[in-house]
Amino acid sequence: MEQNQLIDNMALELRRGVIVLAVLSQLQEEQYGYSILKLLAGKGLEVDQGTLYPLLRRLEAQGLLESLWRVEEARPRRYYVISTEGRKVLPLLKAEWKKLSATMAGFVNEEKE
Amino acid sequence: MNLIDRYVNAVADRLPEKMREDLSKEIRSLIEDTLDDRARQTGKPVTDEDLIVEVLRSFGPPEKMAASYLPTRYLIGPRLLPIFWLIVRIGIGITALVSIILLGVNLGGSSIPFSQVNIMIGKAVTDFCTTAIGVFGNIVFIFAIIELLLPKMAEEKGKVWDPRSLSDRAENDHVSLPECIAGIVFTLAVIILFNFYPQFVSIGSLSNGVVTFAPMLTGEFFKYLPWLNILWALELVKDGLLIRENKWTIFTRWMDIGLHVTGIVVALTMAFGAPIAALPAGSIFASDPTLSSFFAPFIKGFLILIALASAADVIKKLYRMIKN
Repeated sequence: MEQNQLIDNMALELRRGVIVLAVLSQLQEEQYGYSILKLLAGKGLEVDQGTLYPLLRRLEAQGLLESLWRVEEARPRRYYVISTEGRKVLPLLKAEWKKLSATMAGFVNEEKE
Repeated sequence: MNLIDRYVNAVADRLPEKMREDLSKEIRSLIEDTLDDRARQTGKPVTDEDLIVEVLRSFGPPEKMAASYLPTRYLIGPRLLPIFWLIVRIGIGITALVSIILLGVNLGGSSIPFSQVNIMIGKAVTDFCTTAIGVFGNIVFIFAIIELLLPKMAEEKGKVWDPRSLSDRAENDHVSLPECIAGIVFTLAVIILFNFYPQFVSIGSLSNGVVTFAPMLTGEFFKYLPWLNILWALELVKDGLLIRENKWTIFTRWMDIGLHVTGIVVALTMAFGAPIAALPAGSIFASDPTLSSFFAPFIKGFLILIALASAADVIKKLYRMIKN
């Protein structure tokens, strides 16, 4: 495997680890699949479609998201929004992320020194 | 049917029926949203085939897309894999044993033309392969059903897994399951051969294009048979214990050494006692004086060789035990 491909795969794995938190944090208001993709990309988190869309279904199956079909511009779209359970989980995930982020910052800074 | 329809159908074909309709609708909606956006960015119409191809390509092949919505599934998962391989080995081993016995019965039970021997062996191999594939397929089928019906893993149900439940097997205590199974199959084959089909321990001769077999074992051999049966039965018990414990214990190690030593005593007694095998009287081999004079020392030498190999094995095992 070439080095570039290896790094791309590792970066993809890193992003996958944070997508759940990113999605939950961005779904305080209803969004449909493609709009979530654009929203995340607009904020600097490029996510593969094949990763994001199935993830939305899984989070819904876990009770962290709710969804409903709505017809707009003569086209049905599935809208997702954070559920009551998701709202309880989100602050806990945020706290975990802050701890992890601080720890990782320590590791990365050690490397620089 | 346009490309989007074909793509959605291809994904739907790979999804379980209960989620097919809903997911198809959602995937179509996602594709159309993406297409709209790309059309705006490029200034191309949404009907542009190149643009549609580009969008569908970004979604990935239908099988990959469908797979991303499904949990990882196993035909036979890690829970059942060790027992699955054990059953496969036993099943194939028994099939091999039955094939060998049937071949022996067919070859030794009647006088057959020499030209037919190769054909019979070839047929036996083909029959074994066919039966073995059938046995393997049936075992896979049964295990796949068990895998499907098994409840979720104990850990998922909230049961706390205790690492102390892991086997405390040291590297030196490792038991090779295939060796044990092979040992059991071989011992059973030997028991069946010498107790039920001793006439198959024979020598063949070719006369007028017909192979005939004449038994070689003498009455002297059958005096040892009860003792050999006890040894073989204990060998089976030892292999059974090894499979059950999945490691060598002090008991099984000493049992193994005891069986080896007893085997050496029996082999040497047979070697230095009256002949246990002889060239059948009246056969063309018995009438050959050179062959006749070499046969008895050959059997004696063979038994001594077995005893020596066994003694070397005992010394090696004892050395390892003392060392550890």
